[in-house]
Amino acid sequence: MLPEGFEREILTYVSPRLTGLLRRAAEALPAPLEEIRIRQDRPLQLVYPGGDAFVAPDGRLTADPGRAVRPDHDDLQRTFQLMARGSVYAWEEEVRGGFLTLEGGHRVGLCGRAVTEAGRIRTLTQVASLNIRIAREVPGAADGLLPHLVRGGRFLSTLLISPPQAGKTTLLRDLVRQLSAGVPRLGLRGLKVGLVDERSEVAGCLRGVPQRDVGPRTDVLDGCPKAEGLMLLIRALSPEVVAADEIGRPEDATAVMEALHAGVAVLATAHGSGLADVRRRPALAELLRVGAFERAVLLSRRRGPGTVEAVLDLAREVVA
Amino acid sequence: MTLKLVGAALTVLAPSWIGFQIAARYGRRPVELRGFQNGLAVLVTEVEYGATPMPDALRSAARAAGPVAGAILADAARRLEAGGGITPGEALSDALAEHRGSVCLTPADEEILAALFPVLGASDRHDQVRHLRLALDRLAAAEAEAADERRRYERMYRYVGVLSGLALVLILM
Repeated sequence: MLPEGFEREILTYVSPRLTGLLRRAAEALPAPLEEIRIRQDRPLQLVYPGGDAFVAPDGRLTADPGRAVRPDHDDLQRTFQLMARGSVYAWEEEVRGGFLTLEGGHRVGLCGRAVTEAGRIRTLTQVASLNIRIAREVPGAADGLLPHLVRGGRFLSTLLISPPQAGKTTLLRDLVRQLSAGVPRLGLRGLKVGLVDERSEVAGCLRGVPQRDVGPRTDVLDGCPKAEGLMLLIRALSPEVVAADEIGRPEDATAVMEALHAGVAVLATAHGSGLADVRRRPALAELLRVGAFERAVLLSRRRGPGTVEAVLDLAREVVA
Repeated sequence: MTLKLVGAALTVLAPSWIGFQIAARYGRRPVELRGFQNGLAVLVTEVEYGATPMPDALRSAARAAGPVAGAILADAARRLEAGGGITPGEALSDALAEHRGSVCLTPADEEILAALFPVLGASDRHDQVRHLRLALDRLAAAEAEAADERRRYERMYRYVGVLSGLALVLILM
């Protein structure tokens, strides 16, 4: 199955030698394409929910890495250069952070040889691994969840708790979109949302402009550390809701408290497989103790990414 | 008699024209080398301070580079924007090959550019600037040499053309 915009948003930026193969192989996948992994002199791999496959030289799928096509140095360098739109120097910050963002919000993870300076990565050279993560928007992912997070037309501060790859970013994005657009059936008017997108995963910004639908009343602070970003949004953009992905450090907790004191609702996510996991992390435990969040949502992959296991009312600890 | 005079005039003009042509090539080479240097200097600024994407950077370099180098840089920007999976280096090399007939650079001059092109756009700012500056230094050295040759040979070839024409007339008379 080919994802929407695959040809224009992704294949345009891949070495022409590989495009035909990828098109054919992606079409043959049993599920939507999730990742394309291009590694120099190693088998070309496609990842989909629940499995992976290698691409044979004739574009067919194979389970045997030994029979797969192996992209060469030129494929890697050309793809990297095309993805950087022939201007690697213009994406220095992104390359240093290990990823580029394509139009459509697709993210390309980079690996190669790190050049360090005073213990920090200055840049990556000889890029030898590319991981193209296909962005998928799931509008309506939060439809079932949202009614539990709204009371009397007011959005309640919520913490989404989820193990990796359980769809927490997708859910966060859809929540942001719906809060921003407003949900008349819940009596919720459109709210001004400030989103701190430290790793450019939620809004998939390209030169500061969101490539994913995050709603009409959303301001995105791209590539900014969460704590500082939350403060900036509260100070400068008068949001009614602030959202951030993966909070957990002490300074994040301070920023969340600051938001609540300013009367701004908070929507955040955290890694973990349950409330107990979250309580083990000091900064988050403190937030839960003082009642910063009114709702906690537990996610899992049990019935595919985005399975809502439980919605907890943290004020009363009642499962909804 | 008139016919003889016309013949003599033509006999003088033809070698003179050839001499002037050769002299003109000596005159144009330093100008073109300077053009490339102006273009690359703009590229340094665009890359270092503007972080401008390559097609736009090439286009503003083209505006500063004079007619010959400018045409090549602008052509490369066009090729790059047309897409088709080519890198900036390939776009520039193709553009240079396309215009080879109209440039007066020596193989050594083209070698300087050929060493720079594949690197352009392929690395971080620091590295780009380093390569661009190296190419600028080499082009400046080539320009100095070209100017020296121009001083020595430009007038000489004009004289050689005219004088060999005259000599031919004398021999034929």
